[in-house]
Amino acid sequence: MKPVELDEIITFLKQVIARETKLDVNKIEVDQHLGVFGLDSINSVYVLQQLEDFLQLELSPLLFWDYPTIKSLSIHLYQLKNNGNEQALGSIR
Amino acid sequence: MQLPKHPPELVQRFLHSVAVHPDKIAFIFIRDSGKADQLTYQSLYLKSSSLARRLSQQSGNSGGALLIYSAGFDFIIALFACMLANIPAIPIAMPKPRTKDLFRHFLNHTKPDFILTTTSIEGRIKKLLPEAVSTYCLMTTDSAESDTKGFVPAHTSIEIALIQYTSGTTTQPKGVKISFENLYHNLSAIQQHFELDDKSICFSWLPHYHDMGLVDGIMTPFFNGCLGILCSPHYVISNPTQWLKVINRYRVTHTGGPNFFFELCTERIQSASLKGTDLSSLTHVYVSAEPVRKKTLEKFAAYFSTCGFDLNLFTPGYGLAEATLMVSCKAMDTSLHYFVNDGQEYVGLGKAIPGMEIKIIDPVLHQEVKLGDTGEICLRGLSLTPGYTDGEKSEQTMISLPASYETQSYFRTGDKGFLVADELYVVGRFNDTIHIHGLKYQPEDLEYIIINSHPTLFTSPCAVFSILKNEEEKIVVLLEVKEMTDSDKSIEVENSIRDCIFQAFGLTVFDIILLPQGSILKTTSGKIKRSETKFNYLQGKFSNEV
Repeated sequence: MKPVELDEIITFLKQVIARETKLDVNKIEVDQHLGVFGLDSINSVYVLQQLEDFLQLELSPLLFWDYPTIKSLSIHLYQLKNNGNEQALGSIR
Repeated sequence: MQLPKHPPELVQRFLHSVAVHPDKIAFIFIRDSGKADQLTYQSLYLKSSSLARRLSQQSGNSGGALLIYSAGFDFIIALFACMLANIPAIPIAMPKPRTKDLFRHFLNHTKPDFILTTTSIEGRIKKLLPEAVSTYCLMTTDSAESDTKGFVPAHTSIEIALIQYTSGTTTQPKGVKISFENLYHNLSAIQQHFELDDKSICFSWLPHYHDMGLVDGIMTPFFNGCLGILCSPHYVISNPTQWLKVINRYRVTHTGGPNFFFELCTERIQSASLKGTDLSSLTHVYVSAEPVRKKTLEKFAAYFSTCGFDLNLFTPGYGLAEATLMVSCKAMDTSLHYFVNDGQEYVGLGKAIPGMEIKIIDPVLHQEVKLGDTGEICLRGLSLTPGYTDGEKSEQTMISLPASYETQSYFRTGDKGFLVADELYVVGRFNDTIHIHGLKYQPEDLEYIIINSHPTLFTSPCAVFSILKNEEEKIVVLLEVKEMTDSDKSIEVENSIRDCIFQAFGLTVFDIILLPQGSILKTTSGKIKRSETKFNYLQGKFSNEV
């Protein structure tokens, strides 16, 4: 499977969050906490699902609570994707 | 006190199902990956028995067992084990890092005998609240092996089966105590109302710690000895097409959800996926837990008519944990009723179930309103639970009509409504509880989290309430700040409020207004006057304050 670059994950995450919260993608800053953008428990599910499709990984629904910024989340996903270490996170599902 | 000589009828009923058809599948749980697991009646019984034995070997004061689980069989097994062992089960949502303090308050107040959970969640709890492990008996239940011994329930039954924390605030928790008798009455009413039997197929994706998911989703199938299909809320919300697929594949007859879910289905399900989907197995679809909108139901029925769905399959209802679950519900095979009151159209929620009585009472005059007038919805009957864990003063929750008129006292729901031809219509609320996506939130909890979210806010008066926007409740935060000169600082505070409300409750904030000190109205004792503050907000008195 083709490796995914960190930048790609960040860009994708920004686009998905912008789409779900109807914000301008340029207003989505990577250091900002996710709750600032107007996510809630329903639309965050859609962000999660699109991330799963994009990365072809099964992700924990608690992901946004464990990694609360785009930056920390992207780094985590990057490591997860490229180490193939799905177990550690998937187990809480 | 004379102790009952038999296990509660509810438990007997479960044991009966096990004896009659041990190999029948009691539950199918569909994991988020789509894989379906099965649990037979026999296996559910043996697994719960083995846990019940472990629980009854440890002494406790029966402060109950806290059940912290994600959706799945482990939760169901723990729930039945508590019922067999006569330990009140207290199911709660998974605590999040941001609600750590609230969780600590909650534990200190409830003082459970056990905290039951799974191996994977145990680590989470230990990380969040290390002291919880040493203070309470934390027990993982997923790793235990089940034996074949079974468990005969103790003959000295305590009467409380469940405690539901849906009212009160987390800093002052108030659990609804639900007795075995309450459950038996309400489950019988659900059975009769929806004509359920052992051939019914029930399907629920609703949170298992919430009254609808717990009583209807999990207890209804075993009460009727039928098949219950379960999945996590995540599974259907992330892709509502899955909801159609489950109904289609398993020929589901009984399912439902809050209004917002049916809105979601019409928004998110592509018309292409309707092809080949057959919903004709459904005998009814209940809609409850938040205001029911005519528009939503009609849109849904029109969209799914090609799948064999008819508008009148919807059975809107009214219920709350204080009345176990169901209070009233539209009858099957009748058309929906609408009533216009003050220019607003409301959907009828049916008549009270047998054994329950609804009265509309004027909370100021302490008397029944004139026929058709609006007042507080008050309840009496067999599904009404015996009270709260904090033994709250009765005048706050009960109301008595003058003795000359009628001597009974009624439970005050805090909801506003009216009756037309005995059918209930709900128009709003008397209290400040916020209802979003079928779940209730107390403003005090949100306010607590907000003032603890930023170091400068610690003693700031804060008022949180909801307003209606496009028929949906939206959260407004008004907050007093000591000094707020530059806009960078105020943006920082607003961001931290938005984030903490998302992190703690999964909610989004609609509007935040930072105010100079002394702007929020308080009572002489310093309590926030929330409804007056909300009134002023709606009048536009707070715009562009800082």
